[in-house]
Amino acid sequence: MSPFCRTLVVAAALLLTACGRAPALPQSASAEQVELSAVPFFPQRDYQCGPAALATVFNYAGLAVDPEALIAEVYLPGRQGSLQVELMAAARRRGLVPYAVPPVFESLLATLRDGYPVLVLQNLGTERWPFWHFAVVIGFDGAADTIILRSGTTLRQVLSARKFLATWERAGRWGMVALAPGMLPASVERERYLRAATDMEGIAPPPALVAAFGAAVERWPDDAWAQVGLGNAYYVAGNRAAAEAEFAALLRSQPESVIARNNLAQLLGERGCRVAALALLDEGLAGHSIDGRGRDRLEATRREVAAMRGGGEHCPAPE
Amino acid sequence: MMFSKLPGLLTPLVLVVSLVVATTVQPATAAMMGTAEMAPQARSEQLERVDRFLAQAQVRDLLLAQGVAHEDVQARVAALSDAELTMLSRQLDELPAGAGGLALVGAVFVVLVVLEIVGVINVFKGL
Repeated sequence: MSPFCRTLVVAAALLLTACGRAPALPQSASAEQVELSAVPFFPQRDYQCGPAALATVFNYAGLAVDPEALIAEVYLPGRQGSLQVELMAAARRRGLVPYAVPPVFESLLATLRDGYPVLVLQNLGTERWPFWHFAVVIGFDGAADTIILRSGTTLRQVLSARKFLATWERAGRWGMVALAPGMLPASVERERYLRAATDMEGIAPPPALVAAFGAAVERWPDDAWAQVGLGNAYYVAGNRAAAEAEFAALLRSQPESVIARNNLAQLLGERGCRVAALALLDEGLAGHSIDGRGRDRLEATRREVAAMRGGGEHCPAPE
Repeated sequence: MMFSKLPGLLTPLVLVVSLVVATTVQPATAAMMGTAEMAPQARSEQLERVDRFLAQAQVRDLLLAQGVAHEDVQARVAALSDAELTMLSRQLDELPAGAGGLALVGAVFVVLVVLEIVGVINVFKGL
């Protein structure tokens, strides 16, 4: 019997509903126990549960960082707290993929099953008097119907699943995983992951981008979005030959892809292969499968490539 | 006398110079199309370069007003995606900020204790 039931004298009506309820954990998890005991613990100081929770998931992802070092990146003195988007931005800056877990209890559990702790936002207060708190879910116990967290100054907080779910729902069911580049949980959702990786473009270190999109191409080999991401990642990482190969492969399977044609032509032009680049662009402009906006892009690139120096007929092999 | 006009002149000047810099950097990559073009609804969420610059300036001011140090603010703003910048510039004040300390006293405290006992909230465990 849960401890709430002892207060029956005080609030009988409320408790009738509280005690007669079925377990909050879904049936599928009823006999299951998951606890990621290796997740480290950084007790929070003052109001800084954001930096502490972030350090917890960063270190688990293999990135040695102290909560103190994260304060300057995520703490908002005026609010005495941290914003969700800034936690994601901090992961991005360090080359970790900030994957937002689908806002469904089952997805949260699936992510834990896959072996990844989830940084969650909880509202420990009420709708009217919110009390925002970041913590890290590290497991659940189906038999006991509980959720296990690293939270605040508590190394191992065990909450009834029902109570946890209430605090999580009041906070919009938000949770994120910090994925070491190249790591992809089995339960990851394609579009959510690709969005997270795409948002890292221009911010994360290029090798991390290559690993993040490389894992996506491995998981979804025919996915154009993942392929474009990998091509662009190779480009910023300075691996022009690999970038060219990626866009060429995509163009072979999708001749109507403006981005594959455009980026491949640009790469060819940049390495002095101007004639081939112009031919590629003209081929696209001659067809009817590309819309007005796509045509504008190809024409702009054509002007740029045409103005490039050197090259001509000679087309050197990729570096 | 001349100096008194300087700050007023300086702001537009900095803005113009920054805009020019923002639109001319990385000439070699100008024709490469970014991966964001592949995302569904890319066009509505993606900001043009000038818009992104302005949204960044707006969020930078908001963060500074919330006490973020000058030396940190630029890197923090630069790490935000277009969608995040748009959202923050519109509603930073309304967003939840996870804190986790306890600064409540008196009557509020009593209310919380009651709510806690009946299991509606969970403020007092593990903080």
